Formats: sequence, structure tokens, C-alpha cells
Amino acid sequence: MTDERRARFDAEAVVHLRAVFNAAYRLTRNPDSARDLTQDTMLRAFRAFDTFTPGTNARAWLLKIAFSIFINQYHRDRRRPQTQSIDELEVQHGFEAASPAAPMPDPWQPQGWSEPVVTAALEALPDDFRMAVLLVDVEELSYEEAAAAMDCAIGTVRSRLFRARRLLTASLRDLARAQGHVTTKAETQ
Amino acid sequence: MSASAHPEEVLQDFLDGRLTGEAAQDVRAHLETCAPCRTVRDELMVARDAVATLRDADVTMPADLLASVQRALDAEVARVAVAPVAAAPVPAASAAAPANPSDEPLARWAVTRRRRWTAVAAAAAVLVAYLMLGNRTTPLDLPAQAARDLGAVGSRSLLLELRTSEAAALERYFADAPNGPRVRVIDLGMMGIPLEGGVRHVLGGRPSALYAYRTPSGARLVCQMYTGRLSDLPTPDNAIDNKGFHFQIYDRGGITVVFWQEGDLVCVLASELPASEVIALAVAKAMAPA
Repeated sequence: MTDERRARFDAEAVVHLRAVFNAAYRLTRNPDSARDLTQDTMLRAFRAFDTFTPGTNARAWLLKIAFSIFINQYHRDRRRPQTQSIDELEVQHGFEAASPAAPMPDPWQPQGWSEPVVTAALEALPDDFRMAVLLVDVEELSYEEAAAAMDCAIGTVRSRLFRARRLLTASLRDLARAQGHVTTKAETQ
Repeated sequence: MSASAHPEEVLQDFLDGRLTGEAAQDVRAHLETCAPCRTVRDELMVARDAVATLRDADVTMPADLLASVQRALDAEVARVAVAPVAAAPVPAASAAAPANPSDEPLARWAVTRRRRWTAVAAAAAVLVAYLMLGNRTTPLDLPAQAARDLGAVGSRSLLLELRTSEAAALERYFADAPNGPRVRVIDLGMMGIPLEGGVRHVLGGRPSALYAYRTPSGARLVCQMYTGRLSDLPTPDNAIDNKGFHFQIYDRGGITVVFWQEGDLVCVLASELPASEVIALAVAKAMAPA
């Protein structure tokens, strides 16, 4: 019986080990912590394997466990890299009136982003907002699956995602401008 | 929806494909007349597309992580076998909850690690006794797992860590694995079936070298090699013998899976191609000169 359960776990869950490690690395930003988080995730998943419904998204199930462990065990680590609050970031980028009625930014043409630039912009976000983006835009989970992973309401995922994406674009625009990739109307006048 | 409503997060729902029918049409119509909302939509799209590039970012997984996880799982199996009461199923809600309600996450993390390795060491001793008792149950359905791996490569839930069409590069990659089998990778490029890449994998708890080929028509063949014996496999659906090689053939949900022995290694070839083609390619691989 245990052999069979172990074999099923290999087939359903262990095949996603790389995906779990990649997600853990993006969450913890540290290879050793990512390794620990991956190990803990797989062991807890195995213990809870009876709760997994065959035929459903095993990767999403594993990511839910990984993100939950991260939130509970690592998220509040006082030594983790500090970020500004989402409100501070929005003020900094001129989103204090986060509305389409606000003045339109200068036109710019987005470039092909390099991974370090995107990572830098992403890491400036507070963890709750960064996780929403990672789960939906990188791990390709549905809002419902992301909400389950973060143990919050779907509306919260939606709101975090909206604010995080707008801030990310603002950060990317600043980075592009700093690197000379963007010339705005204001700069050409 | 009026032009002044500025649907904000509804724009995001639209962008993410969460709106259909009339609701989607409303947003589409609003966007045609509202430049500020088009700007917001564009901002959301820029971020979404930029972050999506991280999906393929090169994150190197520690070479021994798979083996380490396998050892921990084996130890857990042994612990459950000896103390079934302690292995009661963990409720879904608590599966991801912290084991220790400490207020210091890093300290808790370290404690968790120490406890885990202590438990692993204890369980390892139990595992030895467990295996000595020969308490094994039904053979694993490795053909079904090989068929699932083919699907996982196709769906990209199982990623090829090294993407290359060079057989020698794949052989070097597999040779670098501490516990993996030493394999030769046959280049079928002359037959118009180039290599795609490979990944250090596990098949039925055994470290395996997995690599994939892709035909011009887009069909995929996934080959795996692991240390083992054909006698561990279930009764085949068919079998053929050719020039000293014995090929065991299985059909798993329309996927043909062929196994054969090369020395200490068991070789597996799985594909959705017609069975006759998969068998012919398996024979060609087995007969390929060293």
C-alpha cells in the first residue's frame, strides 16, 4: 500500500520538483532557503497526499503548500529584504490618485525586458503583492488557485494584482528611462 | 457602462480573459472611447508580459535535491509502515500550516531542519529493517509512469533542464549527476528526429536520465534510462526479440512504451507515434553502435 502511494506521489508530485524549486527560489530569493522550502513542501505534500484529488492540478496543489509554508515560516522573517509599503510605492510613482483620470504618462515603447531587470522591479514590491504576481503571471495559476495558495479572497488577489502590475510597469519605465531606452515627449521638447 | 465609469480592475479581468459575452463587450466598447482606460490596460499588459519572461528564467536546481527528497520520502514511508498510527492523514487545511507556532520564523526554520534530519536519521534505520523484512507490495506500473512523463514533457510541467540537440552535451550533463546512471545518448538527427534536451529525473523512485526527441511533425519521443531489471516490470502487452535484445511493449492510454535491457540499464522509449514506429525506433536505438 505504501509502495503504491509512494509511486503515485512520484508520478503526480515529484515530477513537479523543478517547478516547486523554481517557485521557491523566486519566493525566497536565496538558493539555500529555496532548497529547504522545496524539501518541506514535498514532505508535507506526501503526508497530505490523501487530500489531493487525482486529475486536478498537482502543480497548483504543491505551490499552494509551498506558498503557505513560505507565508507562515519565512514571510515574517525580520531579516528578509525590506521593501516599501504598497502605498508608499504608489505615491512615489504618482499613483496616489490611482485612477485612469490621472494625467497620462508620457508615451513610451516597452523594450524586451531582461530577466534581471524584471526581477529587480518585482523584488521592490511588498511580498503579498509580489506573490500575487508570481502565482498568476509566472506560475499561471487562476485567481481562484492563487487565492487558495495565499489564503485570501479572490477579490484580494485581484486587487493586489492590479496595484502590483501598475507599479511594475512604472518601475520598468523608470529603469528603461535610466538606461536610456526611452525618450519621452517631455525630454524631447 | 458609461465612458466615465472607468472600470479599473474590470479592465484586468478583461485582459486576463475572465470576462465573456456581454461583460467583455462592454469593456471593449468602453476602451474604444476612453483613452485613460486604454493607458491602464497597456500598463497592465506591459507588466504581465514582462513578468511572464521569468517563466523560462534559468534557475539551477541543486543536483542532489531530487535524491535528497527521495531519501526523505523513503524514510517517511518506512516511518508510516512501522508506526501507522503516527501517520494518520494530515487534513488539507493543516497540510501547509507551520509545525511549530514559534514567533521567530528563522529560528523555527532552523529547528524544523534539525528535527527533520534527526527524524530522517532515525527513519533510515527503520527503513533498513523494513527492507530486510522484504515487505514489498505490488510492482510499480513503470510503463504508466513513463507514459505520464511523456505527457508532462509535452505540457511543460516537466521541464528539460538542458535544451540541446547535441548527444555528447547531454551525456556530459547526465554524467555530472552524483547518483544518476551513466548513459549513452543516441543521436537520431540523421533520421530527421533531433534531440530536444534532457533532465535528471526519477522513474518509480529510481534516478533516471530522461531526454526527448521531436519529429518534424511535432510528435515527441521521450527516452529514459535507469539502473534496474526488466523483470521488475509488469507483464507486457507484447514482446519481441531481435538480435539478442528483448523488447517489452506496453500500451498506456494510447501511448506506446517500449522497454529493453542494455547491461545494467533499463531503457524506455515512450511516444504517441504509431506503435510500429516506436518499436522500430527502439530497435534502432538498441542496435546503434556504441
